[in-house]
Amino acid sequence: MITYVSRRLGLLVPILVGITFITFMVSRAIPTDPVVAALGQQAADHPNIVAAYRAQWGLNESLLIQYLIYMKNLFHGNLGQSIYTHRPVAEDLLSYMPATIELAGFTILLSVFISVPLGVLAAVKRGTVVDLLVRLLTLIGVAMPIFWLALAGLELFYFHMGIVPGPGRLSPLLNPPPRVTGLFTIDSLLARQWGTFNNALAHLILPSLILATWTAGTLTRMTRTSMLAVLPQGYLNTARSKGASELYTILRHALPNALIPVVTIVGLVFGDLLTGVILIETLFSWPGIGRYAYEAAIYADFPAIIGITLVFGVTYSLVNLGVDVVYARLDPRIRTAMALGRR
Amino acid sequence: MAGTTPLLEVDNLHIAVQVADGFREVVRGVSLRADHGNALGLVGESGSGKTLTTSAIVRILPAAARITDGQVRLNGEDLTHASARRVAAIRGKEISLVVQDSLASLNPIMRVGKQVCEPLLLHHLVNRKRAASRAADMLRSLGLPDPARLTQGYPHEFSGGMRQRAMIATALIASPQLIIADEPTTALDATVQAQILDILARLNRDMGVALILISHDLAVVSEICDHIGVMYAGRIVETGSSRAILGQPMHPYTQALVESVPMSGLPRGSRLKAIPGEPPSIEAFPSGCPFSTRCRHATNICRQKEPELTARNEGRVACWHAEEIANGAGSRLAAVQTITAASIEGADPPVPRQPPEELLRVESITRHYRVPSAWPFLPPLHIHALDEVSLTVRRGETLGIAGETGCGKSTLANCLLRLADVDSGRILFRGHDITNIRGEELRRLRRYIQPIFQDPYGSLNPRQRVRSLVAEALTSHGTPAAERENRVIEVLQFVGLGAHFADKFPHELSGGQRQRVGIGRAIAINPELIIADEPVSALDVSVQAQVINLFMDLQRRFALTLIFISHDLRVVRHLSSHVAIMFLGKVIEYGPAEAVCTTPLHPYTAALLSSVPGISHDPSTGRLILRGDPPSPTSPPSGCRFRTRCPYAAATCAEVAPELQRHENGRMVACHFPGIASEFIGSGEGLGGRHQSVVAARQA
Amino acid sequence: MGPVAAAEGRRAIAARGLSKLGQVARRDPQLAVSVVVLVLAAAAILGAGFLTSTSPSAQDVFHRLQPPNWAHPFGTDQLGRDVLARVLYGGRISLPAAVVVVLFGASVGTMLGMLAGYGGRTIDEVVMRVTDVVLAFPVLVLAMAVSAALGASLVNGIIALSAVWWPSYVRVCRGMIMELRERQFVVAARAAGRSSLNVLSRVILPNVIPALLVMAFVDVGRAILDFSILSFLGLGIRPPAPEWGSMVATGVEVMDQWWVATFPGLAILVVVFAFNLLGDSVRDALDPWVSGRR
Repeated sequence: MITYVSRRLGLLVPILVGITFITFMVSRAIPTDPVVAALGQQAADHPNIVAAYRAQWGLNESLLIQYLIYMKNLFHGNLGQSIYTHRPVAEDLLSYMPATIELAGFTILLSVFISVPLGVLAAVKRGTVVDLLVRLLTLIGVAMPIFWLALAGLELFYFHMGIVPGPGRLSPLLNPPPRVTGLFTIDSLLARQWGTFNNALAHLILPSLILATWTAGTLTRMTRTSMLAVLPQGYLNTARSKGASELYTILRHALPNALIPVVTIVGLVFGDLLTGVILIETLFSWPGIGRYAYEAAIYADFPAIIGITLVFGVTYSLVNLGVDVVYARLDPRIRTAMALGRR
Repeated sequence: MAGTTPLLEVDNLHIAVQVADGFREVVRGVSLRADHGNALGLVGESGSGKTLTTSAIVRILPAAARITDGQVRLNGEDLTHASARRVAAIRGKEISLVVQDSLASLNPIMRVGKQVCEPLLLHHLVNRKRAASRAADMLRSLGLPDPARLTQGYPHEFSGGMRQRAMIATALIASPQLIIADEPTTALDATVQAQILDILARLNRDMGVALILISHDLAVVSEICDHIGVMYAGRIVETGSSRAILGQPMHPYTQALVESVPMSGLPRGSRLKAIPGEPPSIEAFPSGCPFSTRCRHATNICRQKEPELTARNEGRVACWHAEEIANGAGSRLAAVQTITAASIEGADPPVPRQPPEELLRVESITRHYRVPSAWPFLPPLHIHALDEVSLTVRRGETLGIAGETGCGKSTLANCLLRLADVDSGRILFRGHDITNIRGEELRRLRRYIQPIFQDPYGSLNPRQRVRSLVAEALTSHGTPAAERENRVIEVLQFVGLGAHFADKFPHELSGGQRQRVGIGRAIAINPELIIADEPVSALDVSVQAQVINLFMDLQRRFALTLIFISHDLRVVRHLSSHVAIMFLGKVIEYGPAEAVCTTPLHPYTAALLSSVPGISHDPSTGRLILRGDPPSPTSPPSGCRFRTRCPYAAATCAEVAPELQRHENGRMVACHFPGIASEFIGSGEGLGGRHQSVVAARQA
Repeated sequence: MGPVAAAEGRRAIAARGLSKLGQVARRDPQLAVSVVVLVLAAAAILGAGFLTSTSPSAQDVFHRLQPPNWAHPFGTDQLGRDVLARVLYGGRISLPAAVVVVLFGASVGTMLGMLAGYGGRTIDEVVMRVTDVVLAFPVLVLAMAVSAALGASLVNGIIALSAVWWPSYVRVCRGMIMELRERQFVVAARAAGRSSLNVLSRVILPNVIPALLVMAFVDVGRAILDFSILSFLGLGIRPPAPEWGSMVATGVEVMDQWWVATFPGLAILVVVFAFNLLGDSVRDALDPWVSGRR
């Protein structure tokens, strides 16, 4: 297991190098002067400043050297300065991260709570109206243009009915709770600010519900398929023959087995989640990395784009590694195979 | 007995299964009874309804199946109409199930110990802690070493035999009155099968647990059951005492079943009495007597009206012609005995002066699979699939290779076919070294060596028609199209399929038909050597006999050279002129088939022979039942690899690995004490103190 | 055969074809629904000129933001353009663009997958590492970066999506080939004397293609969705071209006039849904075949 994880972490290095390299090359393909883009026209008129900047980023050297210098700076935590916010990219990323983690985490929680019961129900009632309905709903969820759904949701539930708070993480009148984790819900709980907690939670509900249409759609379908594969297994009949009730058989023997493959697609779902985060954060003015990414793209803010790509790439890879490790923990067969080095 | 209520009574049970257009009755009026201390055997092929019947007893039926009529009564209580809660209270506590595939039947992600003690917890018999210790006790009592470790393990970590014993432990733990064992030994090796049957027989005999044993194999059932019911197309067609069913079968189907098993005593190469056709599919049972389509005694009345199960002699039979058949057939056992006598007289034919040309020569080939170690810097593990195996096959010979799971017989087949590479050693075909040839040269070799595979489902490409499958080798080696077509038709007719099969896809064929296509594909190009890896083990008993007969036709017609690999010594012996017995990557005995099977020199061969469930087996004969499971191929024991399971192992066995050495009459054996167990075979004496005294004598 | 007989014959064939279709629909209503929806959608998009006489870019300042009525069944937008016409003509951009992306992704991915699965360890290692890199890329961020660098346009959008579309095909194709290679019927084909290229092209590939087709069907839907996302963010096609995603974006400004954003969004939902349903039904229909069992 240890070898496996370290080998996988080792594989992360070429992935990161590849991601930065590709993004870096794309950024250099734009026909604008990076100095002007980074420093603004006023600063660019001062030759001293320009020379210092060019030296720091090796702009007089070849592209490859520039890339190596970029990597060296990256290694020291220097991702460059954002063209749009005029702040160090690393600092921007750190300040926007918690909002995104809060939104994405809540979405995953919601999806799991919706998907698992629905998937199990559809599988057990295979071929009935319930099954048909669940499958229809999940297909619609997967096919949903969520930016459209977000607009409709805001229009209906915020502007017209007023049952959810509007965009943002907190109502403008409230101060954020003292920062511990950066997640407003958790921080407000830690500070025992119940009002702030309720407000933060209320702000989370609509965006994460909409974000969850994709993830819950995929997860429900997977749970159903996986459950259908488990239901004819002999060990369920063994459990019944021991005297287990139908409910016990489904919950204690079938479900744990069915959920193992579902874990493996969390990585896949995560890719969808990143896309969704960009849309939803933009539409809900959610001060997270997704909105930062949108703004960076609109203003061709390449230092920021590379930084965001890196964060997303690392997160994606780590999540997938985590998924595989969890998968192995859950399934003793995979554990054995990994111990023998067969994976 | 008339007044008492039997433990279990199945009365006129009918089960229907949903098919494309409505319900079809697949169990049609089955009645059985089981009592304390009794063992009832149910025998039938796939689709006979035997498993549905027993599933209906505990009401664990597939979703598509319904009980349409009849009753199941346990101690007089009707289970067919009891509430689900009531039936659940009976399952595992009064009636337990042991099913075939122990890997599929155990929850893969739950510790074995927890699964074994689950019935106790579900029925609230004892608390958690007590249940766990009961599970360990139960596993120990079934002869499993180190049960504490076993209870903490997961199913995939254990061998088939260990898992099956865990299943039996689960079934026993709540002390049920009845155990239903559905094909409990089917996927197991012969020596392990013998262990499991032994356990079941002891339960029944010593603990008085009633037993219903279901199997496709009449021989297995006859080992431990005192009553047998034979099922065909959803009905019991004959029932009676085991002795009567085997000695004086009245139904032509039972007769054919008895005769379609190649047994010790039948002369080698004699045709088996195969039943033509295949078991009817549940989609369409024939009208009248369902067996009439395959029965050589069938007359008009058989095709029109289905016979009732009526009492005759000591048993009951459902056949219009039972009387004539019973009178005409005579005792099967008597017939076998005369054949045995005759064949022994004619044994050991004179060795011809000039032995035929050597077709294949294998010199000390070794194949290890490397499994990387779990930790960095540690050397990788090696799986010893083949270890210095040497063999020769002469033109026209049939070499049978027998051995249990993991002995390397399939790896050997793949190496000889050059589908896998060897690490060292040489393979010579007609004197040419083919060990390392590649590319075009290897492709040309394939013309001369053809395989037949085990799995009739997996070995045919689902997207190719039979024509193109059979012609595959011809096409690859450039036979012109017209000639190819003729040859395909010719081959299809030879394997008993007929020309109209050429346009079918594999999924339109039954298992037996698929295997015939597989054989046709191998012979189409007239190869010089055919290597068949377990070609009959996936088939129904009656179909198995047909395919074995087809192999004998092949031998006769084409003077083929054949390497026939099987775990079933009965089949190997029946078809082969020579046999090689393998154990853990090594050939441990080799010689003429008849000689090896009558006077085995290696104790492992003796054990294999002894564990063959034989219909003519004399119950008073002791059996050489091996302990434990085959050792792991990643770390074989020092010295003789068999020593950990060998009842005769002495000190030298652990130190010196015995070489395969020549013996008289062209026989070879790898044992320090050749012939030590041969006196065991065929002697009337039990195992008891015998082998201990032998071992003691050696050590003294 | 006279013309009458020929016409009769044709009618008979048509009737038989219809009844066959009826059978399929009864046996697999899911497949029937998806096919009908897609055929209707394709017909509406191709025959946009027949369904509406208005041009998608014709502005009419006197009829701005009209709710759905007989003249404009889907209403009009801020510039008085007919929403129905724009939705129909919008399909002429989204559908072909999605098909191009998937065709490119599927063919490149399948070829690389074959190479990785059948070309030996070194090639496998190289291909899979590159695939891992692209797979770890956040699709939308990369597409956004490409658009930002090259400017937002139809072609750049297609390039951006194609660049990240192929890795999943490499994975699936390689995985299936690896698995099939060990299957007995493939071993049997080798033993019959087929060359290894022949085994790949004639035995393995025919068993891989159906699964990839299923994937491609579903993917066309996904590509339409991703394309509309890019356009919605202003990084795909620029207005005034009638692309569904950018039409929803223009509707943001006038949410009280619900029809402006609703109909293009609905168009995306229906078409993507139909492609998903089609993929599902084809998978179900192929499953016993793909697995090689009865």
